[in-house]
Amino acid sequence: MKQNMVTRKKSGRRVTSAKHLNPLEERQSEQPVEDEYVDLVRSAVTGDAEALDRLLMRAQEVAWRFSTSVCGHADDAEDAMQEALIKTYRYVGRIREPGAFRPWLYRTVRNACLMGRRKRAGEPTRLQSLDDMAGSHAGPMRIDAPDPGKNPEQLMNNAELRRRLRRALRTLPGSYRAVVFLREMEGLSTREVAKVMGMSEDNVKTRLHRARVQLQATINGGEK
Amino acid sequence: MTVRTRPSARCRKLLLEISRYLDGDLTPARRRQVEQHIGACECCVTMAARLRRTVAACRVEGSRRPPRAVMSRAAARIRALIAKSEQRPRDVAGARSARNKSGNTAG
Repeated sequence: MKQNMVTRKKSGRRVTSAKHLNPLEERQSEQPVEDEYVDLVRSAVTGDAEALDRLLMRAQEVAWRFSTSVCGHADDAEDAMQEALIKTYRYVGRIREPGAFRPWLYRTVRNACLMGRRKRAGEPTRLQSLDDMAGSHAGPMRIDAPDPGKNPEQLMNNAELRRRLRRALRTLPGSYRAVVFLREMEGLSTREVAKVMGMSEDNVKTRLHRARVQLQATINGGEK
Repeated sequence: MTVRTRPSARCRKLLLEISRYLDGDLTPARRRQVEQHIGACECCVTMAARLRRTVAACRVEGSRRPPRAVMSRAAARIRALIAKSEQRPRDVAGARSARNKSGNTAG
C-alpha cells in the first residue's frame, strides 16, 4: 500500500522530461493532477489507522516543504509541522468532501508559516538557504541514490540546475514564491492555488508566468 | 545552452506569452501567432526551452523529502499526539473512530 502511494505520487506529478526542449513539440496544459490525498482521507475517515498515520505524516511533510521552500526558516518548519499535525488530526473526523482536503491543508500550512513569520516580525528579514538548511538538521541527510539511467555529467548538470533554482527562488517576491511552490512543485491546480492564496485564478496565472520568467532569467544569468 | 542571438525587446516581451503558451492558456489565434514567431526565432526557441527546463526543475525540486531526522521527529509527534488523545479521547473528534476501530498502529 505504502509503495503504491509513493508510485502514485510520482506518477501523479506532471513530470516533464528535460529531453522535450522543443516548445513546438509539446505544450503543457492544465491537466488536473490526481489528488493523492482523496483515497487516504476516505480510508482515514472510515477507520483505517494506517491511512490516518500516513495522512498525518504527509501533512507534516507538506508543512516542512512549504516552510523551507517558501518561508525559509528551518526553526519555523518544526512549528508549522506541529500545527499541521494537530489541525489535520482534529479536521479528519469532520471531513465531508475528501477533495477539499488538499487545499485546506495547504491553506493551514500557509497560515501556520505566516504566524511563524509574524512572531519574527522584529527580526531582520532573511531567507535561509535551502543548502544551509540541509546541514542544519541534526542527523544524516537523506541521500538520493544516483539514477542509473543518467551519466555523471547529466547528474552534475541537474544538481547545478537545482542549486541555481534554489538561489533563484529566494530572489522572488513571497507571493510569487508561494504560487510557484504550490503550482509547480506541489502540483496543485490553478483553482486550488487560488483557494489557498485567496486570490483570483487570473492573479495566480499572472504571478506564475512572471515568476517563471524571472526564475529562468536568474537561473541562466551566469550563462554566456 | 547558449543564446546565439541577443533577445530583442519583442522577444523579451513575448516571454510571458510563451509561458502562457506552454500552459495552453492562449486563445487559438494568439497561439498560432506565437507558434509562428517561435518557429522563426532561434532566440525564442532557446528561451522557451529554458522556461520548460525551469518548470521541470521546479517539479523535481517538489519531490524533495525531509531529512531522516525531521521524519523521525514527525513520526514521534504522531505517536505522542495519538497517545495523548487516547488518554483524553474527547479532545480529538477527528481520529477517535479510526483509532477505536483499528487499534493503535502508530510508529
